[in-house]
Amino acid sequence: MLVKVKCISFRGITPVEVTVEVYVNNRGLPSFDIVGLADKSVEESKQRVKTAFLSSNYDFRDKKITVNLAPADLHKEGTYYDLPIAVGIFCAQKNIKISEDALFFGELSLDGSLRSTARTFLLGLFAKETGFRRIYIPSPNVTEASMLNGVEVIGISNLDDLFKHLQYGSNIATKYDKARVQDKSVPASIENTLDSIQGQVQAKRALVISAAGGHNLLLTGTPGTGKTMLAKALPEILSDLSEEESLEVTKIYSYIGELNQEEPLIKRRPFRSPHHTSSFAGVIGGGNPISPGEITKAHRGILFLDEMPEFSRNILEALRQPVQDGYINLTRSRTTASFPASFMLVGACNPCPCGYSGHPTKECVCSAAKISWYKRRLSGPILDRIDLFAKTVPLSDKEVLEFTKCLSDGTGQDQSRALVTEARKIQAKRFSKIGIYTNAEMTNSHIKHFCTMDSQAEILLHQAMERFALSPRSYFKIIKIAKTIADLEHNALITSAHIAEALQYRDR
Amino acid sequence: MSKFSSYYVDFDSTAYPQSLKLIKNPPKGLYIKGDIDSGIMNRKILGVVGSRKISEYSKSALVHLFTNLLVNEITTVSGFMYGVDTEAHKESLNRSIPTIAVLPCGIELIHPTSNYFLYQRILEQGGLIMSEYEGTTAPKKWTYPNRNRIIAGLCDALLVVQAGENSGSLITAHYANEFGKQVLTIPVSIFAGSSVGNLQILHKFARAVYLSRQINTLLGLENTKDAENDLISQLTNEEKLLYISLKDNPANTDVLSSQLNFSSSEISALLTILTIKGLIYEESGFYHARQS
Repeated sequence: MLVKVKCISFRGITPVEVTVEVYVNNRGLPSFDIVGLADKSVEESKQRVKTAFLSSNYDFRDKKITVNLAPADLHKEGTYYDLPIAVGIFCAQKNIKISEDALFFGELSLDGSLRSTARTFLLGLFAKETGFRRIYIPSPNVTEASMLNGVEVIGISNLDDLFKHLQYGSNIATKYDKARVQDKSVPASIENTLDSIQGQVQAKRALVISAAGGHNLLLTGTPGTGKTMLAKALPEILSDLSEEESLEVTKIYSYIGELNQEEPLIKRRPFRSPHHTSSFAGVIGGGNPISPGEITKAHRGILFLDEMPEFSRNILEALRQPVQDGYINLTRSRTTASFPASFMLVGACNPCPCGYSGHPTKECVCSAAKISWYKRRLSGPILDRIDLFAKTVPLSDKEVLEFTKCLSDGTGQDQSRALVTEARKIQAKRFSKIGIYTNAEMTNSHIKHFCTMDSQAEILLHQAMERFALSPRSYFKIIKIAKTIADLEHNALITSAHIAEALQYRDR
Repeated sequence: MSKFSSYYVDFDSTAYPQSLKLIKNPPKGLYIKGDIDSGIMNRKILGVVGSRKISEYSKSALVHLFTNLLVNEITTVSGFMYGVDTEAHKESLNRSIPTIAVLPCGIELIHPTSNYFLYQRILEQGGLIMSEYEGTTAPKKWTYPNRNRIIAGLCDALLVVQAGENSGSLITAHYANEFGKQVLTIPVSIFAGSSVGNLQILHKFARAVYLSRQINTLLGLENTKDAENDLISQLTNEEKLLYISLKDNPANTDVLSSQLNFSSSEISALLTILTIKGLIYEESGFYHARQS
């Protein structure tokens, strides 16, 4: 008999429906074949299914079985076809009809139990969007798959339970307490807040501005001045993810199987800091099968590149498209995938290869050629996409002691977070009609339209253009930053004070 | 480019710089780009030389010493190499001081190539490119000291910004001293390894300068009345407070905001304004007040 079981496959991160067709023939030589562009991981299903059947006291070794994964032209990989194949074989043997509106998804263990499987959140989402009413998944993933209302989630702990349920309609308990999950509020991190960093008043202010306006940021400073700590504090002053953003991020983490099964819905902004020796595929995405890289994992959060000039040129160049457009298109000979990658870029670098150029007491040992080589690694299009340039300063012991006394200068964690949230609201309101969210996204024509400044500000800006020999590019960047500073003060007009402060964060 | 084609000035020509005729072993002739008869040679000529690797201190000092130079009466001459030479040319151009670049290679060769735009700028702003070598002769080890002798010969006074031990800048300084020119240098820390040449010539024959008006005077020019006091009297109270505090002690923004009790945004704004007014300057995170 022929049985059709519904499951899903993926194009990039987007699920597509796949029908697992199982034909069990009582005549002919016993065999078990899977067709339909199945990858090695699907091919291995045969052994798992066969053994799981035996462990659960079922058998199909004397049958001729053909499994087809339709559409047959779509490349399929992953271990989650175990369950639909097993269900198909069982139902075909027993002549059981399977309802059309159910999806089966999960990996089998040899003892007949089901193992925790990635991507069940995406399955639930797909079921909801396409009108499937019921999904059968491994019981450890029930919480993850149940984040969305409207779909009946049935968690299975072993094959025997499921087969009895399919054959006799016996009840399978779904242990899932929705209230427990949704009421959990996000605990604030205590370690990486602005309050835990001493001094660096100006760098902290730069963080607030960049968080408020969504500006990409480059921190420069000698080793040990707190560049990494500052970057890590950035997610803490950003507002939590909105409901929509939270879904986007959860989808990604469900896809790569990094969701916490206790608390699947991601509410905090992700912070990713790949090491500078990371491969291209690791940072940008790629590989076979094509999988998302760090930039996608940093979606709606922060991508922190420590020692930014040390990253390979390829990686830095490849960052251009995602930084500009918020997604990455990866094209390979057989597949094309588009992954979301809308993140704030925070870079950190030393002033020179040895790190001590400009240090008040330590002498730099780099040659002029070496310093210019180091700086050139970051030049051009990627610097073009960074608005704010901030310096961290080395503190003497005496200064470190002094600063513990005076931390109440408006750069505290809570005030900063409140300021940023308010400024973000102002921007969202201003840009509601043109489809952008932050000042950083403004084009030059937006700038001309939205950024009005008083006459003194204009005079100052022109003086600065001359004095600091600013390029037209940095001219627009400064206006954007000044606009964010004005937003932080709830001021609709850019004044000379805003321009003057913005000038401190120019590229120099 | 056709606008600035090179021409040859023979030793006997009237256009040949008088000052060069007086040195021993003068060049037989000079290849020149730009107009040598524009009066550029009639001004007082300040030679500026120094290391290829310029420290932050030297850079700030160079800018500082250029601040109040008499732009209408001075021409600068330097060697077009990267580091101090390049900064000297740039700083001159920024202040509309005509500048002469003496090349260690053929007149048609732009060396180093990274200075391509500087080359054009010098010519466009009425300066000169000069060399005793024709065509695209490549620079050789011995062409550098030869070029240095021309710089030393041309100038009325030579400012050594930053000289390392056994450096070409020291060769220029010794030539200038030999030719009877005043050699000036910038005082540095006695532990500053990369500027030890400054100390060596200071010990032997050079004069230390720390104000641009001293350079004006040593070139035989009269200083105009200083405008700085006017500028200070026009400052707001906050600006004045910050300026006075910096005059006593250079500091970074963190220290300033805690000492003066200003927020980081107020401090940033004030610092920018004082920088634009030319009263303070920044050096790797630290702000200093300019001494006039």
